[in-house]
Amino acid sequence: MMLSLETIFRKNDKVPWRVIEGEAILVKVDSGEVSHLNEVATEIWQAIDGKRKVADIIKHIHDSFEVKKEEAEKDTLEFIRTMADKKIIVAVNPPEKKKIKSK
Amino acid sequence: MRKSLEVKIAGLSAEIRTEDIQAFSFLRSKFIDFLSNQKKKDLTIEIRGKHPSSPDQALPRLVFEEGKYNLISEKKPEISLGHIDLERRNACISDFEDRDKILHSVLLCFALFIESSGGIILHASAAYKNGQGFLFPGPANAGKSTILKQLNEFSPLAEEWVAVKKDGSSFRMGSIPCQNASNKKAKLHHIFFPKKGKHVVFKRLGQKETAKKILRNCLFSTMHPEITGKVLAGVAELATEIPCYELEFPLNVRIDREINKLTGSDKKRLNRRRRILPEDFDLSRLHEPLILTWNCNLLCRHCRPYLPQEGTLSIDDVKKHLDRLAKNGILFLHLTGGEPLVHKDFWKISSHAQKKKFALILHTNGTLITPEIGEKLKDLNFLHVFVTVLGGNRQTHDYLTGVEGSFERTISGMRILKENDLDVILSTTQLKENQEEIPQMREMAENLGVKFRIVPFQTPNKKEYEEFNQCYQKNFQGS
Repeated sequence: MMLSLETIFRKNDKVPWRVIEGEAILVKVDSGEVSHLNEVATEIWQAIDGKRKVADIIKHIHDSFEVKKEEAEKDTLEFIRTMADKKIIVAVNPPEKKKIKSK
Repeated sequence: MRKSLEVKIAGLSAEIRTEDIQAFSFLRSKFIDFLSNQKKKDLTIEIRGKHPSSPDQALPRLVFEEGKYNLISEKKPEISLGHIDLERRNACISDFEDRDKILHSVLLCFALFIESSGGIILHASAAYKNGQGFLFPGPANAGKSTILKQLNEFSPLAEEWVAVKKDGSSFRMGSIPCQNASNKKAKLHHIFFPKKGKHVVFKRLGQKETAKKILRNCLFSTMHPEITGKVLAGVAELATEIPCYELEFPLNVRIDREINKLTGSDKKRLNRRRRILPEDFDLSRLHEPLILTWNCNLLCRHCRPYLPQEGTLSIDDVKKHLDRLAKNGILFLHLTGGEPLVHKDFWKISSHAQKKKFALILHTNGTLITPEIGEKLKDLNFLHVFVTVLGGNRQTHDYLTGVEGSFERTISGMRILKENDLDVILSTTQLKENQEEIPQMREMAENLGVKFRIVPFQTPNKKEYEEFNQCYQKNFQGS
């Protein structure tokens, strides 16, 4: 998955989900699998709104948790990559040339 | 009879002794939240020597004379009202008729000992949240008490006086027993000098300006150079290490969020492993059936007698209800009936439910499933489709459904659903007419490549049925 800090993601319309007591529960209809997201993942999931860039979400995570910027970036990118691979989230704009350096 | 009161204020423990029961009761009531039974006492305060008439109205003052800290009256300094011995860590205070003078003298003792051990006492209000403390020093009318009322998310720590002392690498602050303050402590994080204004404005202050402002609101229990020096050093340390701001704020506006934003005290601790819901969280809490209509194209013998003659929800009622369910955290929505597919707005309802992010589950008799319907159900991302089969063969099934040919149509419906890659569950209700055929139905499911489930049919008793119906009528005005 090509990922840029400028990419904007939205949730896949076909994924049923709820946030229960601060924990997101997602249903993968194809497999019937029910996933529970942890606190940070729930925050990222809720921030994916089809408007915010990946960079904005990283900033939001950094602002919301006691965490270093690098860690917020690592967590966010990892989550977004996994979710995009599983097609649970979809890129709204095509990734730009400027890519994130792999660490 | 001698009475003894053990208290701890700003980390300093003391024993207060007196033979005056009234003075004892008065102090006990003032220090009620600061009582302690710590064995090791930092100081002892003795109240003795009646002063039936105080020399003047003014509160006693502390001066250093002849190697001792003496409590004196402003107007008649020659009359001793008590003394404090720092080295021996004890004090003697006159038993004033005016109880407030006793309280003031006791607090002066504490102040002196706090200052001598490197602490400072500030004229300030204070609040805390998640163990993080915020100090609001200021003169009278600066807005110290007002600001506390506008900090909904914070707990108040003190309104008038706060002791601050360095503890390792951080500063601890604690309340002083006056104006009914309760005994609270917190780690000092930020200092804000309140100022009433039109908008919420934070102005970061430099060290010099901070030190000046702290000094203006700092208590000096005595002018003794050594003690004063210690207080000044404490102020300088505080101004250097704690971020200070001037906080301009309007009345009647919440400012806790602004403070949270500025100080980052709303940040959650990151714990990636932490599950919020308990491991044994019961997902069945997130399921809800929605009876779209009582109408049905079959006449099942075990069901029909209990169904009302008519009753269908209007699309607007359903939409409102779905919005409510979504808000209440329902995730799995079971569309049922009657036969839900006979509802004229079934597709609009399903589509709305999908937009509301429900996981959709259909309970149908399967007789109305056509290839087109199968495709539509797939498009709408139905999670499961439960198809009711009532017999292991055509005779039993059609007998129980009361409609000839229903068996073939149900089986055909299941095939179509399966072709559309939907998760199909052949569900049956065990009745005396079909209980022998359960193995055949199980086999039928296997042959069709679908799951099998026996669902109990609970005949509602009259009371339950009426209650359900009332609730249904109340919630839905559909014709």
